[in-house]
Amino acid sequence: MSKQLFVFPLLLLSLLLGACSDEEEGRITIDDSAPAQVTNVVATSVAGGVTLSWDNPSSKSFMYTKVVYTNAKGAESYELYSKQHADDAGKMQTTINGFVKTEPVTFKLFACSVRGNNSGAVEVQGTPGAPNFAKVLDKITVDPSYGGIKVGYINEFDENVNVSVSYKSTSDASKSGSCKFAVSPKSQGAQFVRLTYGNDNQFITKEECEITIHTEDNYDNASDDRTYQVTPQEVQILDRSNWSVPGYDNSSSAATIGYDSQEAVGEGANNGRVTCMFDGNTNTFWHTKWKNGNDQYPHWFIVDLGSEHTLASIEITGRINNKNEQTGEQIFVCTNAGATDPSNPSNWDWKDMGEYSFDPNNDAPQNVDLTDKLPKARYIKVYIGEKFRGASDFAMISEFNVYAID
Amino acid sequence: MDKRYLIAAALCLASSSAIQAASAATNTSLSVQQQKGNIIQGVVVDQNGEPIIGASVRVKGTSNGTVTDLDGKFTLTHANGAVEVSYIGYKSQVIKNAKGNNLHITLQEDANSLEDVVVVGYGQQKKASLTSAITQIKGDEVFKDRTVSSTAVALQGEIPGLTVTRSSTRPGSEGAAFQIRGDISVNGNSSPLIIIDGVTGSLDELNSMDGNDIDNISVLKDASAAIYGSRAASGVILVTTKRGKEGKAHISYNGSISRTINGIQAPMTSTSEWLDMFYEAQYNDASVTSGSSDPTTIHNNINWWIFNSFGGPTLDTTDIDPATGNPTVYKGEKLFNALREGKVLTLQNGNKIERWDPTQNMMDALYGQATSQKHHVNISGADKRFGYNLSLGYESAKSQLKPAYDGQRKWSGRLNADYKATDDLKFSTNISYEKRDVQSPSTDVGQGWMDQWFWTLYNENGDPYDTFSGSRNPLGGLTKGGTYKYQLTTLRGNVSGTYDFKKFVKGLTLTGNAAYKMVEQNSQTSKYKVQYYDWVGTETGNKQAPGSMYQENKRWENINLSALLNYQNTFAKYHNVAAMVGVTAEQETNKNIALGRYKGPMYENAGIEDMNLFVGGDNNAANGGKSSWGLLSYLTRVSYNFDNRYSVEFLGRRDGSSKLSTAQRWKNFYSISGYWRISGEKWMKSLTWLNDLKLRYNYGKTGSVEGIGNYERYATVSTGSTILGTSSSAHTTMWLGGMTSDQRTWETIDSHNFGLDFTLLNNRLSGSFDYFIKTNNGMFISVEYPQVLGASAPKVNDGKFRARGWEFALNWRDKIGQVKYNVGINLSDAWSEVLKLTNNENVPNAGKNSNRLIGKPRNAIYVYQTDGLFQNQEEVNAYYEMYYWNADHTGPKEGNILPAPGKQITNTLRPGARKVVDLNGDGKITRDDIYYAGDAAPRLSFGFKAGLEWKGIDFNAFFQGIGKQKVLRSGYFYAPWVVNYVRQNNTFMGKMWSEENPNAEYAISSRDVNFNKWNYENKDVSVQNNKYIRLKSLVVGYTLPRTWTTKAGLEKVRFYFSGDDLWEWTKVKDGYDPEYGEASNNTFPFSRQLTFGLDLTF
Repeated sequence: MSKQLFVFPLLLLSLLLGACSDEEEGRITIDDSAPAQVTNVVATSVAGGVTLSWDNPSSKSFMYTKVVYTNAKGAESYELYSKQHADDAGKMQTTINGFVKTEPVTFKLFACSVRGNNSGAVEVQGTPGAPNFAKVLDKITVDPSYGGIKVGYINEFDENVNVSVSYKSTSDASKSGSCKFAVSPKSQGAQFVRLTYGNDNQFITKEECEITIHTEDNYDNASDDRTYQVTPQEVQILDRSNWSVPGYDNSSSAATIGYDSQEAVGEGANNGRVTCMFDGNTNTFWHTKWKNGNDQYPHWFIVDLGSEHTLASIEITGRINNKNEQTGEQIFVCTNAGATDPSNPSNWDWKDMGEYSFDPNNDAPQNVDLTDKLPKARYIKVYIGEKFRGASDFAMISEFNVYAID
Repeated sequence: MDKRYLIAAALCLASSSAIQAASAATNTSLSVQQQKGNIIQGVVVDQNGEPIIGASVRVKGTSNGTVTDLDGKFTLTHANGAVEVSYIGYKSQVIKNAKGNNLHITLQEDANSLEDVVVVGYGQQKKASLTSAITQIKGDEVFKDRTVSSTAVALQGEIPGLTVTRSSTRPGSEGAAFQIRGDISVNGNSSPLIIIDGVTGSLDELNSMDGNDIDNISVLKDASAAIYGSRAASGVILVTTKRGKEGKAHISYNGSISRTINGIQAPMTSTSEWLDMFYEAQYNDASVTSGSSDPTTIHNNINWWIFNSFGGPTLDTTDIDPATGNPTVYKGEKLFNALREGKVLTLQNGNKIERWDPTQNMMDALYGQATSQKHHVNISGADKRFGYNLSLGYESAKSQLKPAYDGQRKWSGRLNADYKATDDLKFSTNISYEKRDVQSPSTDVGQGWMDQWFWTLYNENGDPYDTFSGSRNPLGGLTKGGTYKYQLTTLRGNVSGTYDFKKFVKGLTLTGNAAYKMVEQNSQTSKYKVQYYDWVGTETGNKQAPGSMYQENKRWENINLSALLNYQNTFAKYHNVAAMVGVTAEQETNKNIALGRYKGPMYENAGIEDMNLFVGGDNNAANGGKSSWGLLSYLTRVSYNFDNRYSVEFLGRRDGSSKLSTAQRWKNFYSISGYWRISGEKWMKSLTWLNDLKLRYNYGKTGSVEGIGNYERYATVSTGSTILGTSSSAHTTMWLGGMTSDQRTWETIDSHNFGLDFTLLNNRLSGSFDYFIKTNNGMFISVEYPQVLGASAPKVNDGKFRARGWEFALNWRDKIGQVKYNVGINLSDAWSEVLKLTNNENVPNAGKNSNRLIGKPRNAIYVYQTDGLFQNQEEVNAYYEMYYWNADHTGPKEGNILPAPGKQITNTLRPGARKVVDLNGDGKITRDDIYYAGDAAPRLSFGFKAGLEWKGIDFNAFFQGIGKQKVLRSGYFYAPWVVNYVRQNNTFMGKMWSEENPNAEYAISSRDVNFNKWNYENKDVSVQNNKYIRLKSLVVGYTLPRTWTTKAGLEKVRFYFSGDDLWEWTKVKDGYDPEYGEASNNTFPFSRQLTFGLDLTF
């Protein structure tokens, strides 16, 4: 009897340690039951793709639809569609692009729970239409320009098309290069392409070149190549040793008559200043003031080219490995004669050359094409208004170059 | 399921099975040798054959009686009829027709603890007549055979409802804290009032006492504490010291020597573990950033971090690189691999000579073993007039810290004396002196967690080595950085006189008491410049230059005067009446001085630490302060009981405090309580297995000292200069430091306690159960006023807080043949809830929410629910598709907290990362997706005791633990690489996800801090379940047979072995000791103690 009682506190203790319920509240049990299948699956053809529509199941555990198919390269791939993209009636519609051949493709649709559990696939066959990107190639034109070429394009279609350009000098195959640019849906225009090669701002000019062009969709499917012979018109890259910035003060971050801001403290002794854009070193850059308080947009600066030139284009390189710069700029130019009062550039006779977009995610030099205008200028003012504010308060430029025809 | 029901069920179980045990009553043994005549002589002894001194021998029903002498002998004349022999603590015996002159009477110990006398506020009561939740433990049960240096820590787990926490085992630096029945306010720590021999004390003073001097500790848990009025809200702990007992003088010595060894170590990596963890993390990160799946490419992309910025050519002339013909250059991968192979390297890095030594172990260098000792001598005894108890104690305890002294020493002396001047007049005095010296290094204690120490600890000259940051090797700080000294001296004196008016009114006594206490606390911190060197002795860096000395002296003096008039009587056999009225006056003054010199020592390494030997400068510190408070109180306790069956008690206290404005100065605190002894009813008499069953209830109001300053009602005025006027110029201006209010008063707690006491089965099983609700209706809270108020407003009594809980205790004592044994368990729980905070619209934050959420405890933990790890990229893509992208697929949803999707970056969701659950089902993961994970307060604390005695061998085991507590660990070690430049928590090793180990418990290893925070910070996987059980004490003793020891002139000789904190089991899975608390930036391990001890009584 007493032995039994001896056991009792031990029992109680083990209950206490083992079966102790905790007072947490608000945890949920995850519903991972397999949702019902999707219904009313319909596949219709579009150029280079198939449009699928279906009804999402009403199962509570349904979270997304997975569509599995074999892509143009023969690999199995999938697309995922959250239930939140359905319309109010629970209807989903999507187009799967990137097909080249017009042969039937099987699509398997899985209605998945949060952890991907499902009741198996609903299969549907769709036949993609012929893709559009090859058709864009037919309307490509190539014309000589100053220090490069102009690639004319017309995209009448509803999707993005990429134009791939490769080039080489007919006489010297070592002068070669390539580039690619995207053409938006329903757009037409002409893209200036500088025919750069090597590492030191070299480019092909005034000699015959062979240009090879093809178009691509967004899925790395490419059209056939086409070649063109062009001779770019002559330009020169201006020697920056003659340049200056009005009112430049190496030791201060404050605004002067030549710029609104620079960082003369926080980036070190040889960085952050306006003149860092002209030193041929992409590791140094102009940075608007951040130490002891950020200077706000608009940001701007003026370059004095030392003498008057006829400008063909300007090239701006952002801060390398940084995505927080400005997203565009407005260019003004002023002739020697237009610069009346040297102490007050704001009163000069500035000519507006228009606004240009700038991609902060791109570390390559970005072109400002002035070949249509060919302005005469000794002074260039780069004005970066509030509308071009990027992800931060700062404008940042690592290199700034000017191309001129005389 | 609620534990209360569990226990109720368990109780039923116990009582039903108990009925069968009813007949198992032990027989009292009695041997009487008869002889003719009416004079009887004999001896009264206890079970062990030891004489009982002062036992009463009396002819039953008459006043004819005598008491036994020092040898237990007695002679009684006219012994006609039945003779009754009785003594407190023993069962009385009646001997019919006693005859002879050689009677040998053996009294059996009365196991019935109901006869125990319990110390209550300003008085004593029999345990049987208690109406309140008061638990008393005997000092000998807690402190005897224990080596733990802190008196407070020794109480851990002993008393249901008293939670004792500590954060360290370092003697003198345990960080011990008391709490009775949980929190009662969002202000302060809800620490109970400690009264030592009737005078206000403190935890520090209690820690200075030698546990051997303590007779008993009584804990007032419910509104019975109201007799201590405005200071009683968190309960009261009454400490009573030992006094001389009537009988032969005893001289006793007990001493022990113990060895302290490491217990649970902080779970920090050794060098080889760190290198392995580093490689795993860097390899995974290189695999992501390179975008490659080829092992060689990945390996070549590994960032070798510190191994790139350190290292250089070796100075070992035999170590030539065949490729260059020059000494091998150890840098980057080469250095890393050499360390992984355990190579010791001496390298030239610029003008520094580096010494890399992966064989060194910082933990072994910092912590080892230590020896402590305790000695206590006691002389006590009493005759009819004079009683005395003199004791002297010394103790020296050290922690495991190896490079420098870290420990405490305690000295104590005490004389408690009683003197009966006449039959009516009695005096008693106490004088005690206690001194406690704590000393430890002032710098780098607990350090060594910052850097993984691949370097040598000391350079070739034996000086602290450090080329890394120039100042981080903790061995430098510990050995050269100076000391911290803390001294606490307590002097207590107390005299009281009691006059018994029995000549005039039966049962009326008057007691006057005067007590004086002085506590002096001196601390001194010296800091010296610590110089570090490279391997050959070139200076590398230093810290805390030029050094400093800071000294702080604090002194408290407390005078306490009281007069108590007591009346106690029984009318008409059944009506027991007791009444007490009293007045007490208490004043405490406090004076502080602090000095500091911060310009370094005058003479380096002088070895003398004195303020005069430090350089004075314009930044000296010289501060002081003085304050005083007084409390005048009127007390009363009135109780009535009928036949020990029905009882009611009222107690009250009217406190007038110097701290409050006159409008609020006086306040009444009271409690009303009563019991019903169900077992006393006639209809219960048939239940022979039930000895006692008592139902109690107590209601009352107590006050809290928290939040009231000594000079509460005065606003301070500051002066300065302000520029004013039409012709602006500087003028002297004055302003109020803050507003005062005459509305402010004590936080007052309404308290209800329901209790049940029972003893069963011939008094072998006893227990009690209590349930309580405490509500703080006038909790101080800050209220926002408009800005125009112009000064900071005082907190007002406008909040509400509640604590509820229960306590349960069960004890079983019995004897099987020669074996006496006992088993006891106690457990208790208390949970708090914030009920009202004015204008509170707080929503929970992820992490610990302290004092800010209505309807939740003081410290509520909220975390994100997670659902395992991503196993492949498709799962990641599906997760982003479901929760990340907005309707146009152009960016994240509003409020999104997911790291952005990306390629070749480490801080993005990827296979091996953790999935967070969309708890509220809104289709996005935001900071609202958190749930309440539990209370950070320790809950369900318990103690479990088992003991047995057999032929001089005694054995005792005591377990203590916490059944429920959630801990969200802070600091740098709660997860791998959440701070990526420190040592790591090695419990995560081998448990992290990889393609080969897809079922791993933890996320993929990475050195990206933000990625790791995503996986661990405030996630359910990081909540530690802090429940534990620990073998607090294990004692095995042997008492030599009396027949041997008496020959040597000794009354008692006992040897024992005891162990403290020998074993534990815990649910904590990140490797920390469960008593560590939240913090993790600390290398100091918990300790275990092994003790050998000796008790001698002459």
